[in-house]
Order: sequence, then C-alpha cells, then structure tokens
Amino acid sequence: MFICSAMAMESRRNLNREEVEDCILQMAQGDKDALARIYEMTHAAVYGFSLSILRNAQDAEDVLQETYLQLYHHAPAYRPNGNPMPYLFTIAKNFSLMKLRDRKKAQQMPEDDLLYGEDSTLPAEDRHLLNTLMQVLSEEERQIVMLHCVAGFKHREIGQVTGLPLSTVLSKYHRAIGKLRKQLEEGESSGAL
Amino acid sequence: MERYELELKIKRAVEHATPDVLEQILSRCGEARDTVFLTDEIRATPKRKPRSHLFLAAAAALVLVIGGAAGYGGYQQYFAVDSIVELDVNPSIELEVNRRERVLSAQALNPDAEAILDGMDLKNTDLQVAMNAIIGSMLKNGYINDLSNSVLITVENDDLARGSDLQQRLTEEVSAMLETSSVQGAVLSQTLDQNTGASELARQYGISEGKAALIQEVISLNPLSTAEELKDLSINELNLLLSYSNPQDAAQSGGTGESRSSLTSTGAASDKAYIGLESARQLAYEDAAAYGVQESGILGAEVSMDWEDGRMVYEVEFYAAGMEFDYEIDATTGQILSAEREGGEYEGSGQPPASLSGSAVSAEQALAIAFDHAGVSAGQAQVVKNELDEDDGVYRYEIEFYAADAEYEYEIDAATGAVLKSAGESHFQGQQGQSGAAVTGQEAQSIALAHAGVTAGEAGMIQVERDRDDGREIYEVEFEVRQGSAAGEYDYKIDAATGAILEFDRDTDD
Repeated sequence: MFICSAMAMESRRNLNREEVEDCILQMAQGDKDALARIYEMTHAAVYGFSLSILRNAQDAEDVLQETYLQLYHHAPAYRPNGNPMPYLFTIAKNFSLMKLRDRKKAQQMPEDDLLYGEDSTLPAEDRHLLNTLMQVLSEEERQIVMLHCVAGFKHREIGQVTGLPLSTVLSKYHRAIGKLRKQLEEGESSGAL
Repeated sequence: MERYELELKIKRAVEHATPDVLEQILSRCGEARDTVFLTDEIRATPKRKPRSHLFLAAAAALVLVIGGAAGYGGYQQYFAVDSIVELDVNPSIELEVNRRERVLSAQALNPDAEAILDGMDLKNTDLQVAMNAIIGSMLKNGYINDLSNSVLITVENDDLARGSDLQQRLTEEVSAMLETSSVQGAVLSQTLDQNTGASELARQYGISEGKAALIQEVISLNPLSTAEELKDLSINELNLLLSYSNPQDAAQSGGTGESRSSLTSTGAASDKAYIGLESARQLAYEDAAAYGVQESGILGAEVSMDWEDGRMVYEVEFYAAGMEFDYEIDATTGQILSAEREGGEYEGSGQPPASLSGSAVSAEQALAIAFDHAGVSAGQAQVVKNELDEDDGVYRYEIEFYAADAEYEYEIDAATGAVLKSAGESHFQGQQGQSGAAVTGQEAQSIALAHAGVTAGEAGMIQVERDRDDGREIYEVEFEVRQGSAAGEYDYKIDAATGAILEFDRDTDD
C-alpha cells in the first residue's frame, strides 16, 4: 500500500507553471541559465509530444531543438498570463506538423517500422511500452496520453493544445489507457516482451 | 496494472528515451541577444554634441600635427564634417566623417551599440576600415545572425550626389563583408538631406535619423501602424514589414506610394525566426478546409506580414467557395489569432451575430438536426444543453440530451447545419449472464455501418474486436470515412447478445 501511494504521488507531480513562466521572462533578458532550466523541466514532455505526432526519434529530436531555440529567440515577445504551457506546446506542435508535411512531400513514410528497434539502447520494458503505444493508439490518443502522463497537463489544457473539446479528451484518454492496458496484459500472459 | 502505475511507466519510458540536446541548443543561440530595451534607457543617451565643442577640443591636441600637414590645408578643413554615416542593426552607431572619408567621431546611440564600440578607437581611421571593424564586431557578437540579418546604412549629406555615391560604395562593401561571413545579409541603404524630416521623429524617440526614416517608409506602406509601435523593432523586423507589406493597405488609406527617401534594398530579410510565408498560407488553407475549401479552388491568395499588438503576424487573404477569407496568424507560434469570412452562406467578423438569418442555422433547427441523426423524436428527448459556441471564428452548437436511457452529445456547424461530432452512450443495463454471442462480428460491423449511413466500400480501416464492458460481451467496431458528408472517424460499441448500439462516437477532426 505504501509503495502504491508513493508512486501515486510521484506521478501526480506536475510541472510548476510559475517557475516555467519565470524562466521565459528571464530568457527575454538573454539569460541562458534560464533556458537551461526550462529545458531540464520540460524537455521530456516536449519530446514525448513530438514523438506522438511524428513517430520517429530523429525527427522528434530535431523538433526538440527547434522548439527551444524558437522559445529563446522570441522570449521577449511572450506576454505572461500564468500558464506558459499552451504557448510552449503550440510551438512544438507547429514544428511537428511542419516536419510531418515535409516528410509527406518527400514521400517518406516510416510509420510501419518499430519506433525503437532491437538495436536501441533503451531498456526492454520501456522499448516495448513505447512501441506498443505508437502502434496501438490513434494519433489523437497518442497526443493526449503524452500530454497527460509526461507533461502533466490537465484535460482542459490538453483540449487547448489539441483543439478538442473536454469531453472528447476525457473519453479518448480513458479509451486509450484501456487499449494500452489490455495490449500490455495480453502480451505478458502470452509471454511476449 | 493500475492506471496510475501505467501512467508513471509511460512517463519514465519517455524520460529515458529523450535525448539530451541542451548543448546543441545553447551553442546555436549565439552570444549576445538583440533584446528590446526600455525606451527610457535609450532616451538618456544624448544624440548630438554641438560640433564646435568637439572639434575645438580635439583640435587643441592635434594642432601640431595638422599644422605641419600641408595636404589638409589647415585643421579647420580636416575637422569639417562632410557626411554623417549611421549604421543600424539593433545597435545604432553614428559616424561623423570628413571630406576625405576619415572618421572624426563615433557615437553609440543605444546600449547595444556601446557594447560594440567598447574598446574601439575609430578616430582618424579610414571609413572603410571603421565599417569593417564595426560589422565584424556585430557578426562576432551575434547581432547580425541567421535569424536577423538586416543592416541599415544611412548617409546624411546636403550634397545628395556625393551622399548617394558614398551610400552606394558602402552598400557594396558591407554586402561583400556579409557574403564572406556565413550569414546571408540583407542591406538597406538611403541618403538623407536636411529636408527628409526624419529628425523630429528621431529626436522624439531617441533613435537614429536613419531608423526614423525607415519607420516613416514602413508607415507609408502600412498606414495603420504608428511610430510608437515600430520604434523598438529591429532593422530585420522593419525590413520584413517593408518586404511583405500588403499593397492593398497602402492603397486603401490613400498612401501615395512615393518614397521620400532613396531607400534601396539588397538581399532578403531573414524570416527564419518565424514559421515562414508558406507555412502560414498552409495553416490558413487547412482551417478553411472546414468550409469545403480546396486548395485548387483558391484564388487571389496574398500573404503579408504585419506588426500587431506587439508581435509579428502573417496576414493571409484569399477567395474560395464564393467567400472571402482573412486570417491573422502569429508568426512565431503559428497560432491562428483571427479568422474572418465574408459572403457565402454566412457573414462573420469574429463577433456574435445579432441574428442568424437566411440559410444559417437557428438553435431550434440545430436541435432538430441532432434529434434526426440520433433517430429520436423531440417528444422523447430531454435537452440538457443547447449552446452556441465560438472557436477561432467558427460557430457551432453544442447540444446534449437524454432520450430513452441514452445520453447524446452533438456539435452542429452553425453556418451549414453539418453534424461535426456525434456521440451516444446507452445506460441500458441489458441482460446479465447471457453468454455466447447471438451476433457475429460481421453483423456487428453491418449494424455500425448502417447507423453511420455508409457502405462497407465507403469505409476504410475497418476493425472489429470482441471485448467485455461492464460485465457484458460487446463488439468494438472502428472505421474511417475519408470523403463526403459522412467523413470522419467512427467508433461503435455493439452489444454482442442483442446487436444494440451501446455507444457511438464520430469525429470529424484530424
């Protein structure tokens, strides 16, 4: 019981939005330490989100760089409103969509490949989880799951970034989690990893 | 696995998978930033010193040298200012130059410029050498970079012919310098005489005359802008506004379109800090697709840049499907700030319409459409919600109602009456303990398709799965329809014992 509640507390720990917004304001003065801080706090969330759109590790990494550079260069133009997350993630979303468009134009469709292959350095459990997530969920479901689990967004915020109404976000999230649990449990019982 | 356990595992997995690119990001930032300074700081810097004081003071020290130099014909001629050369990027520097093109004084007009001039002694150097040093320093300190590559050279000389000549040579030299660096520069240059009238503006805002003249030029093309808004912009931003201004704006406000200054431009202002004209155009087209607009049917498309409410925006205008579209898109984030449509079935300008008349849809009509789709009569239904909502300039009715133990949610387009989203959930308890499916997967699929009003041929990616939900056997049927009025992603839950539709969901978004 104790372990469960400790894990519950950890997973509920969200990004401190005030801290993130302060970093942006400092970045507007050219403070690169603030850039490093905001990066540390948010880069996994941004990466996960881009990955959910692009399903390609290299592309998501490119978008990761572009997003923070853009954030830094335009920090002076940011108007503080208490919640900087939709701003940051809208930048990431648009870079991701542009990358997707470029890929379509160049006729590259790597979607059938496993996201993380046998040669990846990721632990096996993580690899299996992420591969399953990418294959089993629809595009919207992937985005919603990433934003909720990794970025700690509330469902309403997810609606803001994805443009979906709150009720849709809620139902898709629960359906997605249900699909994932089912797929992972079936995989375990049949011995596959 | 508990839900929170799974959520935590997902979070950990992504954290392990995320690469660390902080070093690359920091190294691509450049050292100095062209930050926006408070105007109070700028105004504190005095713009001009009285010339006579400057030269007499310098003259006292140099009298011995100059007296012996027959070539200059006396120190008065040496110290006579012939031209003033101003260099603006974000740093703003003013050089006083004599007839022989030797620098008599170099003054910083803003704090960024002080950083550049710090440690440089440019007095008596050749103008070309001085320009070289200044441009070199700006490149090195990151004031001229990939994202912000525009330089403004201004020559002030009452003899316009000499001024223009100097302007041209300086432009060539600076362009050549930028070419050898890795930045593809854009050079704006102009010659001003006493009659340009930019000095008032310059004095008022504590900026160089050259920048003031440039701002006046931008205003003549974008008459709705004010100098107050534009004074803090970098030369690159002003150059973008100049390059991508909307010609209609100028014409509409009776602008003469005639330049007062002799502004010439080489190279192209960098827009790499923004999403780009093409991306802005695509974002607008995609949004308009909700009205049945296809790219092949778009006419007269124009993309321009403007400065609104303290940020750079793209304005995209075009005609399609009998309507005129007008979009404003944040140039940094790509967010659609405003969308306007005129003509067609619906007239909208981002404000709630006083009355929806003609072929636009009323609240009662929207309700009727939803009831019809659900196969429910008005008498059976209990309406929980029927509200007109606005999202990015698109109006839709959000409708929720109960009917015969089922709960329904709909979104109806207020302009066309199209069903954008539909969802239904049955609270019917059903008969527990009934095992063995009376309904086959194939039948479940047919039931779902029939409800959606499409044939198997029209649907793609059809998936049928057996599952248990709330202690009962069900089929989950999913498919998508690409084109036509029934387009969207569908999701059905069908009771495996009775074939009843327990839940259905349809999305028309991507």
